[in-house]
Amino acid sequence: MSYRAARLEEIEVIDDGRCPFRPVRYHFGIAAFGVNSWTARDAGDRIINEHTQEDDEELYVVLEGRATFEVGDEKVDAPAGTLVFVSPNERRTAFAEEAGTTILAIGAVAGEAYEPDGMELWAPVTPYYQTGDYDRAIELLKPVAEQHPEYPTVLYNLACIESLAGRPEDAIEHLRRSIERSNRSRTLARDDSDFDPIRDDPRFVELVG
Amino acid sequence: MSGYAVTRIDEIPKRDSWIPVRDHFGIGAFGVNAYHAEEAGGSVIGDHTELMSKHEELYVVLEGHATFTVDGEEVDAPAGTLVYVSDPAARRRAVAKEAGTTVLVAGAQPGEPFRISPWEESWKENREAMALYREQRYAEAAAVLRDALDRYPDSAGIEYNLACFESMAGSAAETVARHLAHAIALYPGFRDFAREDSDFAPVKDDPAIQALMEEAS
Repeated sequence: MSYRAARLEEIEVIDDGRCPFRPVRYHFGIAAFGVNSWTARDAGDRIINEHTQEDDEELYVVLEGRATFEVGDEKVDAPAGTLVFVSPNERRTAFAEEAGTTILAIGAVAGEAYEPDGMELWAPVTPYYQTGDYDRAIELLKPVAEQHPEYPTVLYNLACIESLAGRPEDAIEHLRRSIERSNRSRTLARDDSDFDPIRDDPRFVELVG
Repeated sequence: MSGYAVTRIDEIPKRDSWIPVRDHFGIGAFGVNAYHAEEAGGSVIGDHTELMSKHEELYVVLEGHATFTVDGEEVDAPAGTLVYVSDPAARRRAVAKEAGTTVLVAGAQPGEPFRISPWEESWKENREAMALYREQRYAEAAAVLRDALDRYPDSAGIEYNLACFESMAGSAAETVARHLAHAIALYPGFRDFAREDSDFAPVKDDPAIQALMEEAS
């Protein structure tokens, strides 16, 4: 079939302990750009997690309700029908002013072919990573990495957690496989403190160059 | 550019029914536009394939209610519907079922860095020329684009349409081939597009035209 259609609310929600999101890209299998959507349960919810995108350009589309974006040091009122375009390296977050506020985000890197990173798959593991429950995080993420070897970020994050959990063999093996898929993993690993426990391991040094 | 930019979608100056979102923000990583129909029954997304740009497309119905037709199948699409068309060869269009229907569409080619569509920079000239073309005034349509080519010497979109109009105007095959070759050199997707384009019927037996269309993309 050459097309697929869905109502936004039909796409199953993924909960990573923050504002639940709908993995639109993953749902359809889109390969050329990233796209997700967030819906606030209540007014005041942080609907877009505070973050910067190192390379991605992102366009936020407020589909329903009303949000307040904070970009850099500025606040932006964003009722439904507002488009907010944010360049790489700019800090951004958004809060819902109304329950049910829904934002769609589209993103990719200019000048590069898009690489799906599989964030939809590792997001549910994030709370365990953040609270230091590495064993549980590994238990959840390892089968995902085996089932989806096409996503370098899943392998990368698994390697991070294994490094922190004191499993250097596994960490190096999964980092190696991630780098085979995407050279970006190599660059990321150089400055990632998650790899501090294995930073002096000769195999790690060789991998990240 | 750095920083950020904000706008309401209805504040972006329209080009007919087209709301040029990508151009407005200067987005370089993916294609994104919106289209608006004032009246019920009006066209929101014109009938087209993505053979030229090989984009996957995700349509998002922002307001109103549309009926999509993809490869002959109808899709009912009220606000909040997403329609994903993966196959560049699929014919797709959308018509407004309600007045005030707006559809946003994002697109890019998998595995390739995004390139701005060759139609974007020269839309005014192409619109003027297309109006003449629809009235079968092919020589006048070609004259508009020959003039535009002085201002946009490396516009694949102008070169391609000029090749079409010269062909339909009965110009020498050599002239058609020169413009088509330049269009393809600037934007290789035009090769596949040209094969399906009936505008080249008058010159289809010319060896130079055949060679252009047969080369591997």
